[in-house]
Amino acid sequence: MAPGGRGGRGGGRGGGAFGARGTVSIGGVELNWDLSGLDIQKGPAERFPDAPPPQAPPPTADESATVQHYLAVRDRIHEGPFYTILNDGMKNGMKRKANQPAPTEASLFNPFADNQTYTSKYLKVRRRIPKLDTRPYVVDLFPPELRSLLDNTPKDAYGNVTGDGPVKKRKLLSVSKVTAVTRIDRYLKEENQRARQDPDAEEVDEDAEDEDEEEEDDEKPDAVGEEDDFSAASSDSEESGDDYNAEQYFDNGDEDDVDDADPYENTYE
Amino acid sequence: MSYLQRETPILAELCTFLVEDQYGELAARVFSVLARHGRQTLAALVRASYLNGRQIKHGLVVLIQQHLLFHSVTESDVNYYEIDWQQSYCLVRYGKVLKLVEDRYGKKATNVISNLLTLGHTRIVDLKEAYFPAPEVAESRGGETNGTSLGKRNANGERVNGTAIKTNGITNGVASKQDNLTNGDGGHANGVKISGTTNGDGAEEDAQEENTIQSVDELYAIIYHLMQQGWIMKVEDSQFLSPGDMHDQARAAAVDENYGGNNPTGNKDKEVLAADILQRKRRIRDDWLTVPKFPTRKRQNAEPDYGMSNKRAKISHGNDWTSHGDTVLLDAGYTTSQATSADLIIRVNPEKVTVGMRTEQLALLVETRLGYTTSQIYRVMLRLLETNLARCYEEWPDRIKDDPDAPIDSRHLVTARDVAKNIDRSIDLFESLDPHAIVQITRKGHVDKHHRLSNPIDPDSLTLDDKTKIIDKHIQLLSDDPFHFVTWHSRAGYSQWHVEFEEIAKSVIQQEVENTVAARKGALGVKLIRALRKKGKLDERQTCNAMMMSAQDLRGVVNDMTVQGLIQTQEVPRVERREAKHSIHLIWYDRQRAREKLLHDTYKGMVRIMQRISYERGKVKQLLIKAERSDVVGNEEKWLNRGELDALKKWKEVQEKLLLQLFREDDLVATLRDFIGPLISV
Repeated sequence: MAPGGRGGRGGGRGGGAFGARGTVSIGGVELNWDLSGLDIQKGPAERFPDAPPPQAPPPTADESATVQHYLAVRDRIHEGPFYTILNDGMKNGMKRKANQPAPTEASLFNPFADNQTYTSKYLKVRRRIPKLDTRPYVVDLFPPELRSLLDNTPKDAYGNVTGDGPVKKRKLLSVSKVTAVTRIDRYLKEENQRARQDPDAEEVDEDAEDEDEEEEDDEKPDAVGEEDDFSAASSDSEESGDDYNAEQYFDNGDEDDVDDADPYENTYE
Repeated sequence: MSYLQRETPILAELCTFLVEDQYGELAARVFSVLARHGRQTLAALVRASYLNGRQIKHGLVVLIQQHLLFHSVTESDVNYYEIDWQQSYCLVRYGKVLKLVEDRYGKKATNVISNLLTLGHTRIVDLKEAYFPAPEVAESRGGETNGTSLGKRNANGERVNGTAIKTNGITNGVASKQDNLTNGDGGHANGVKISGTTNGDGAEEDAQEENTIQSVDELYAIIYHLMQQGWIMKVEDSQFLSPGDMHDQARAAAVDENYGGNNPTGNKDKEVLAADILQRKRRIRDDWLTVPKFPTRKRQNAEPDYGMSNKRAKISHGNDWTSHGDTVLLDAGYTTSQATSADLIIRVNPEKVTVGMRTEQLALLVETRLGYTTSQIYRVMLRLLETNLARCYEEWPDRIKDDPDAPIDSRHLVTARDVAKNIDRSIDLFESLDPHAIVQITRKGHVDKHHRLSNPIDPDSLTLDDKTKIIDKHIQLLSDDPFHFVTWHSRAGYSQWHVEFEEIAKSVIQQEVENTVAARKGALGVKLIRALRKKGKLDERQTCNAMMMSAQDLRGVVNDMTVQGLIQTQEVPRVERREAKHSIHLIWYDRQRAREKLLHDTYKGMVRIMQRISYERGKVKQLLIKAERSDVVGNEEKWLNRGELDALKKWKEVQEKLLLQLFREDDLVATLRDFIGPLISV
């Protein structure tokens, strides 16, 4: 109907001007529409015609820079002390409905991926609760009921402040001094570099690794070399703030009094 | 409740996704409870959530640190928490903030801002110590980096060097302002710099060094500069008050002072009180933006320096982000003032971000309408104005408009000469101008029949006066455009112009609505909207007359657009028994409602993108976990096979594409929501 209608009006108007009025018969009815130059589909229309989705134009230089900045900041926040992954099978923070069973260990277990293997010890440990004692805060800006979490002044067993100055090392913010690249970018770039410099792979590898380590040190200043300091890590793990040291998990058994009894602190996800 | 605080469920969903994307699941769970239940106490939160008290407290700390929550204490010592929707939405703009700052002030400032974004609010002293740790801390660390050692040297008080570098940067720009008294070391530093660059082998290191902040003074100067420009603001307790609390406080204070604690009764008194409350709120808010005295100070009142900064970054190796006359010198009482300013708490100013986004969007709009060169000129004009614009629109305007003939504040005016001084030299100003206009200005040669200048002019050899005149031609193009990008004000300084942001924002919103309608319904829909906008409320017959179309052709479009919420309907009964036959059915177009509907749809689109990203991430979850393993990091080639690397690359592309779309929709949100307050309906 629609194409016919449009043709009809167009024809009516055009007809007056040009006088070239043709006729067409559709379904045995003679219609005086001017359809010259139009290719009319007589058959039934395709039921699901090909309709490619509209494609967004490619990014401009500014836009891709914006995306890179966003990813870089996000990666830094994810490496920082605030990022948490609960993995408890809940969708939001609301209380469960009465008829909704709590997710169990078994129901959350993925038999294909979650089995502990040898390489599990290399897995990145994700926090289940933010680590708040790694940086200084402006305690006055927080409501009184939360201040106890942030206080850096050391307390004795009875909760009294000991001494007059902070005994502990002063906490530092972690800042990055160069504008960081995103993590995946780093992988891929390194990969490319290696592929290019294949002949003298041995030396280059060493160098690249060194650089990589330096870079990591820069980002999280107190991190301990992850593979080398296997045993050294346990001594000052609380102060050093090496949050991702997988070895902590294995050394953790004998220092129960360190944290305020957080069952999740050093577990794997 | 403030316009921006108005919560819609879809916005709540979007913000929860954004929080989860940035700060992980715990913060997002706590956020989602607050989003669902609104203003809550800690106890109520614990009751409403499956999380335990400790988890919720930690989540709240994270959210407050990033300014995503308001909190306030009532008389009964109970704390209430409430979501700051505007700030929560701003999470999506982290990338944009950095890009905007990078364009304006270069890499170092970007670095400071990115750290501030990551950390939330922070004391300046803490930031300083993080950049330049005290020596013993630095030594206790294993891997000492280049930046740290430099920082150490400077932290020891070797300030001579820092100043010398700055002097050096200035000599490149304005020779007359060279400050030779400082020392002879400047020459030395200069020599080192030059040899480093001319050799060429250390180029990369040099670039690296150039982009890292070298000294405490430099850090302070950057922060000070960004505060002056309004990109960084100080943090005060009152910023954590929700709009409702702030209103209550302002009201209580006003009632106490003016009415002795008794609520006024008369209508007139109430109006006076309302105006007083608004004024108080504005005062509190403006107070956040005042720049306190800093250890560094400006020696001269510098000329504004935008548009140049980007180019300077490429040319000179000095202090790129300060303006030329802006010698940063040390105060006599350096240490004392440092102590006072060190406790200052700072954060990124979200309102300024929208101002920056508006500049960029308007410049892009001009580029599509009038061409690249004109858009560059407009960009420079807007950036010149940016310094004095704290926000896009006044959220709490006075009820009574001050008279329209009031003189415009000279800080909101810009002249062609300012633009000529600040524009990037590499831009060919003659581009996209009528050659006849050029001949008229330069008075050399003529235009031949192929519309070419018979006597070509080198754009580099233009005098400032000629440049001003040519730029003025571009500005006239801007003012002649239907959008009226600039408005003529007076003849001072070879024509003074101001920008009527409100009117432009309204037309840009209208244009976005029309773009959407055109995409959904084609030209007919746009025609209908324009007809309705011009004629007001119409019944069917009047619509047909206005559109010069038959009712049958119109009905489909009208129905579709009504269902989509872009056109409003109204039914007015003519008889007592309200029958459809005897009623008048009116349709009309309401700018504000169409705007809100479109905004809502955009939010929804953004939610879908976030969902899609998390779905795509779920597909490569195992791979990402593997890539993060500590043995794999650094040895990707060894432990990941070809297919995995390809998948990683593909995931990166997918994510970037989706984020790109997200940011484009965010641009639309800015246009629809942030550039102007609610519009009064017809």
